[in-house]
Amino acid sequence: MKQSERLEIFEKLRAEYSVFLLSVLWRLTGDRELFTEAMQYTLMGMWEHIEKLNGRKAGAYIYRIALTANSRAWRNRIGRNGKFARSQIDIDQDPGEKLDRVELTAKVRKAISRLPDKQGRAIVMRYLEQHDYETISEKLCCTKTSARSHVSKALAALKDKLATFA
Amino acid sequence: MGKENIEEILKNIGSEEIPADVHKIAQETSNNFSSSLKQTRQPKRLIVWEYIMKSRITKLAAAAVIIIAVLISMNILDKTIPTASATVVLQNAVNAVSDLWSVHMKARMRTLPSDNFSNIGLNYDFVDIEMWKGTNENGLVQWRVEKPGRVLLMDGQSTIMLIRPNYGVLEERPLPLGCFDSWSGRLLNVQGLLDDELQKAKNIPDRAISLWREKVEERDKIVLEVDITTDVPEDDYLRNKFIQDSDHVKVYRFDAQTELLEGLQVYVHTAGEDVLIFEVTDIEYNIEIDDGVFALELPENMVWHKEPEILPDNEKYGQMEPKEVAQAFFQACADEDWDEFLKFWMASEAEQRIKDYLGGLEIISIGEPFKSSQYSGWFIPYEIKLRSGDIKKYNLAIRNDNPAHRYNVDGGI
Repeated sequence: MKQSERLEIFEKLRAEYSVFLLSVLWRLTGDRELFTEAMQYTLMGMWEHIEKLNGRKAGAYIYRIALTANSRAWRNRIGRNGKFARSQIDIDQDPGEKLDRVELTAKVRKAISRLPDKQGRAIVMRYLEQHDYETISEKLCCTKTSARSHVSKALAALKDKLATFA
Repeated sequence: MGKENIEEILKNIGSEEIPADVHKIAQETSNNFSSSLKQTRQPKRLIVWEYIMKSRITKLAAAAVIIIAVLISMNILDKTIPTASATVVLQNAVNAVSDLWSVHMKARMRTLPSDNFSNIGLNYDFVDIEMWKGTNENGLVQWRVEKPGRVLLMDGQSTIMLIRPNYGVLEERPLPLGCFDSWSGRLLNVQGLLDDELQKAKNIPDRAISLWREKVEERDKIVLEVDITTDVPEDDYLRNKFIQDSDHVKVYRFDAQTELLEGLQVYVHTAGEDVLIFEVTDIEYNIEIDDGVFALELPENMVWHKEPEILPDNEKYGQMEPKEVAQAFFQACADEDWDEFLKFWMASEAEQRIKDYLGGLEIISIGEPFKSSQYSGWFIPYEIKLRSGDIKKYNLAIRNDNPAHRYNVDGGI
């Protein structure tokens, strides 16, 4: 594929998915630094896989790229000891909110970044994008029952992961 | 915390307003990326992109490590020549170590004390590894890599691997660092290492590198992170049994002032966590190394590695199927027929240690052979009862890529 074609597809996708990326990545990170990094990794991933994104399945690919980018950003920033650096959580944004609540929310976000692919997508679609199960099942190419199952398993996995973070 | 609480938090996240400045950050990030793509005049050739990301957070100073400016995030987008500062940083580091005449490195690794130098296990305890490399006044290069049950020594003339207490592999020539799967030994080639990482990042897909600067105890550090995706399938037997057969990330740290390598950590990515698998704990440069380090005192009763030779009845063994080989091998042990044992064992004689361990065993079962994408031989599941009464259940590794073309035991005991 010519560079000009690659650029053209990239620009089209960038415009088409800008709102989606802003919304999903912000909700997954909740932190400006992490968000910027995840956004960069996502754009990089889109560019690297641009040949695959020129078709009907572009949305699904971009979803995966964004979630992978989010995981990578979290992995880079949390610290190799697995502990949260308190400064990396935007506590100043909600001065009235209790710190433990903010930390808990950050832990949930971190835990989402470590979910298996399908569970991650299911939980993001259900709660962060607030889609109904019919939409989720269409996007995940599965039945509504399977979509519910992915969400349920993801919630259970989050519970386990949060227990290990404690 | 229950599912209900998690759901409540998730719902709250989902209904949060996105702050206005985040819209702006997203727009800037996206536009900057797009501009960078368009600025290249070498359409298919570029291709290291740099992003200078200025930290928007002023409170990153919590820990000893302060990211003073998230400096350079660099990614290879194609298999071509990288540009600008990444190369400069690496080149400076290479220059800084070009006049090294000795390196002494201490490390720890999740491995077994006597097993292959590259062997890892996510649940293994850490084992200490110590490595030396020196160049004497006559330009003679010598090195040594050691863990508790294994020593690998190149004294300038020959290369010896001693598996304690008395099994040895001798090559009457100097072999390069990294031989005999001594993965960690390659770290002693500090100069070549950096160049090697850069070349690999350029030429191998699924390998991303990032560079940034940190401040640790008031000293600037340069961090090079290499993220590697293996092509070994998740369900492959050898997945995560060697570093190169795992998804992993290598984090190198250089002192920004001296530009010398100060540390390396390797993490294996798993579904749940990144597991620290290898860590350099100390590096010394240009120190006097005692001559004794590059000499090895061998026990008198050494048993030497011996490649399989063509036997008078070689055809009989050459025609054996993997399962038959496993059966015959263990039967020889059961019968304590050590001449027969040696037809499957690459050694000049049967070591007493092996005789004591395997002699008189009882075969419980031999399973169906299977392959790994990373190994040219076969693995055969087995279960045996040792004379001690212990039951051993594992996979015997055999291979026949030798001049005699018959299967010999390569591991899994």
